[in-house]
Amino acid sequence: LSLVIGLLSGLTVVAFILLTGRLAVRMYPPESAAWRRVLIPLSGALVSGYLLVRYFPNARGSGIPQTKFALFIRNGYISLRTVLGKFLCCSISLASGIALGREGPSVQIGAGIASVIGRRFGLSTAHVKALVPVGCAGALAAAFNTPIAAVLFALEEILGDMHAPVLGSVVLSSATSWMVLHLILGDQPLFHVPAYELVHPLEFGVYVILGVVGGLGSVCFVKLLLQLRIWFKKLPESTLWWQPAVGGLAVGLFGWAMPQVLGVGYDYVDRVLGGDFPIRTVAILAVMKIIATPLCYSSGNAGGIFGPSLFIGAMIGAATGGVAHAALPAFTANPGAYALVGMGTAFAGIVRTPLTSVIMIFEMTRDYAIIVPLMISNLISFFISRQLQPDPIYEALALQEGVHLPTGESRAELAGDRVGDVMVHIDDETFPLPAGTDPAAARKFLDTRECNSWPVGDRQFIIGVINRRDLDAGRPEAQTMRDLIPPDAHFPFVYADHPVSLALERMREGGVDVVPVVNRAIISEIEGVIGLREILAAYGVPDSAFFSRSMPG
Amino acid sequence: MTAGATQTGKASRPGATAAILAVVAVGLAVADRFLAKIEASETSASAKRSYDKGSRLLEQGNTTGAVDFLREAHGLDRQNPQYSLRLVSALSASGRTSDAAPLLQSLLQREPNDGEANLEAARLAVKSGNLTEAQAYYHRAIYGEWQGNVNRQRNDARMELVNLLVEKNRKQELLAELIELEAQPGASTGTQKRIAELFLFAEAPARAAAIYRSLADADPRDIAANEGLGNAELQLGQYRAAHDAYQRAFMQAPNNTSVRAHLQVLNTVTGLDPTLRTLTSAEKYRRSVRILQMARESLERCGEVGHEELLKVADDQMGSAIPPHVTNEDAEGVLAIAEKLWQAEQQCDGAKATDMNPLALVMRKVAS
Repeated sequence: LSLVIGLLSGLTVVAFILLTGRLAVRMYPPESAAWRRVLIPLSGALVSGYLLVRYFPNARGSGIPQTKFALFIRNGYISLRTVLGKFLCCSISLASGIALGREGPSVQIGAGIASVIGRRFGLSTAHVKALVPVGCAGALAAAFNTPIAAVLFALEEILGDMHAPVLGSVVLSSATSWMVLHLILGDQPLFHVPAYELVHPLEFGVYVILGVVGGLGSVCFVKLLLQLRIWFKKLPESTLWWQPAVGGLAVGLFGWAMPQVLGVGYDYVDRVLGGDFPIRTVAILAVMKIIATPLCYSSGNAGGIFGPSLFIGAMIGAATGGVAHAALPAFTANPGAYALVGMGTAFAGIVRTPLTSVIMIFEMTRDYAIIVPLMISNLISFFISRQLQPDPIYEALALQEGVHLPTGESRAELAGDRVGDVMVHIDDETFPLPAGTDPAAARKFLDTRECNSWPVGDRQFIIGVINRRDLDAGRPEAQTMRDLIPPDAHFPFVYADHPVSLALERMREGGVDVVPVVNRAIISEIEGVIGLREILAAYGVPDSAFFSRSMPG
Repeated sequence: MTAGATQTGKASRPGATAAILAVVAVGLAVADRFLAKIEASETSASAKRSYDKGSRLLEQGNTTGAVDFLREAHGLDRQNPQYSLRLVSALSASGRTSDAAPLLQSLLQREPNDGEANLEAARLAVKSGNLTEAQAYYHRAIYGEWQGNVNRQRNDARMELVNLLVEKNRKQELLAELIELEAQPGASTGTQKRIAELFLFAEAPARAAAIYRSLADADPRDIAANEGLGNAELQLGQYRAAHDAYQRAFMQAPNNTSVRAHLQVLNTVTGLDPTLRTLTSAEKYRRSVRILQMARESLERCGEVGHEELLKVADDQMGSAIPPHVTNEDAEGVLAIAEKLWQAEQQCDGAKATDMNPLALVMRKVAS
């Protein structure tokens, strides 16, 4: 199914890209009058606004939060109507010049296709949920022409787990979709960038400044978007269908002054990456886009923020690089190089996926030389953004809708404490039950320890775990623990770096209440023990009452 | 956990679903192909429009406007080397060689043997002052791949290199290029004259004379060919042949001041030349004394101190009586003194031996 999902999401996204592009050309013929740039975004916003309210209410917005809603609270359910609505409404709004991107909607379209296919084949909800990131990766691979970044994004942002078991399917879908894109549109990167390189070590300083500026720009963007969204949400529901017109009018007025602000703006980004721009123009465009995109998004237009974040980043980078190059021409590269790094900086600051952003920029431009400055700037921007705007944009948008999506932090909390933080280390008081102990002494030992099971061995090495059940059901002729535990017996154990939850799992599987904590290099070497008592104590549960009730006898 | 096991409800027949998906995939593929075709055609047309506008502006000298349009054309159709090249030309013309260079490099990576791209690279190298690199690119252009009239374009490229070498006064390299250029068949009369003229510049008068001679033989009324031949013969020291050539040119163009001046100089030289075999010893001696006198006057005019002894030797020689039986050795003795005076004069500041100085021409002949 991963192949089929990759194929269909690739074909659909390619159609989406081509259709949007061709519609845009028809709406803005060469040398068309300036009034078009005001009226067409306004009309597009009104038409798509009506369609969204009347027919496709779930196709509003970017598509990423909606996909995450589907994944985490709707068992992976995205309707076919939403997929079709997203395709149609985004085509209209993006072609009319609304300052939003096509990648977020593509992700929802891909996820929707996966969800529909999974349901049509009658898969379980767990399997349908598992297919959602598969569709996302396929769609993003085609939308950005970045197969690796698509895989990373599906894992890093959508699932929030880089080791998710669906990795193989995600990779397959991404690769299939990317091949479809190449078969139809050829082998062209999204952006064409001249070969840039680090001219002088002093440039690292400029890239640090760029990281700071990009981070601050990202925070402005996110805060403005969230504030505007709150304001629009307070408006009466009857105004919902024309709210997008506010965004359309704003971007139209900006576009009247500077046409580059209209639409996704990748053509102009491509030009800026080539180093061809006036500094004043790119600085104004960065500010305009930082205002126009939140207005378009918050007012309810259909479209994403990936593309605009790249545009804003490129403009911020170009402006910063332009100033640096004018001041220190001998020590700095062409400002186009800074525009390139700026794209990743804004992406890392706004979307908060630093790893995806580095790989994405690399794949989009196929320029390896700039990767180290890119990583530095991205990381700085990411940290600044995290400090000044603690909630990532998609989680914050979900919160505005009353949905609590799992964040990176909450996932870390779920992972909880490690065994090493909770276990009792082996010492003079805590040590394995000697293998030569007879069953009666062993029972007494367990009674003293107030537990049902315990590792058996000498001070350092263990041969297994004995429990009361084994003692009761043991052979009568067994004289010692060594007689009860067969050689090479499998016994439950954990490592010190395992989560505590795994210790509980192992206890359940082994039917024991204490498991040994062993060395990763030598499994028979015991480092400590962990039992229910220690685990409950770690969670602040007093053990006296509990154990007095639960202990046998 | 229980949700994980829940079926998503109405599972239609897998076969029917697969068939529907196949139909949808085929439909989408057809739609994609159709849209991609439209996009390719519209993009190509748009790129052509921008290219035409940019080219027009470039020809009108509006390089800034040209760069804008040509960049647009290049952005829309990056695979078209013609668009890339014209953009490089516009960038280069507007002085933005640093922007043009990477573009050209990527083009050359794709098409390393493209004659036009290499020619542009050579021009860029000239602009950035790297003559060695420029020469290498010119050679790649000359031996590269061209479309249309290959020979003409290659010769034009070589001629551009030749002009550069003339400008930089690189006579050795120039001579090598001229020999190659001369070997190309089918050169027009104008080109042949230009090659001969450049041979003269490269101090290869014999080759120049050969070309001019063939042109003059083909058309004896060709003034430029005869004058050129005169110049070449003059450089070779063949004053009589030079005189004859100028004479033929003069017959066709009596008002040509250059030819007239050369003829006057050559008449003087002919009257002075002591190396002619037909001269008697007495006449040879008389001419030698006259040359010595002119050399003395020339050295005196230079006004530098330290030549008093030489001048005195010359004066003594001129003041001495003519031997009763003059021999060729007597004449050669006088000429030897004249040569010393001439060499001293050549060391003077501002001394210049031009082709229009009869004494210089005679001394050159004597020296050879």
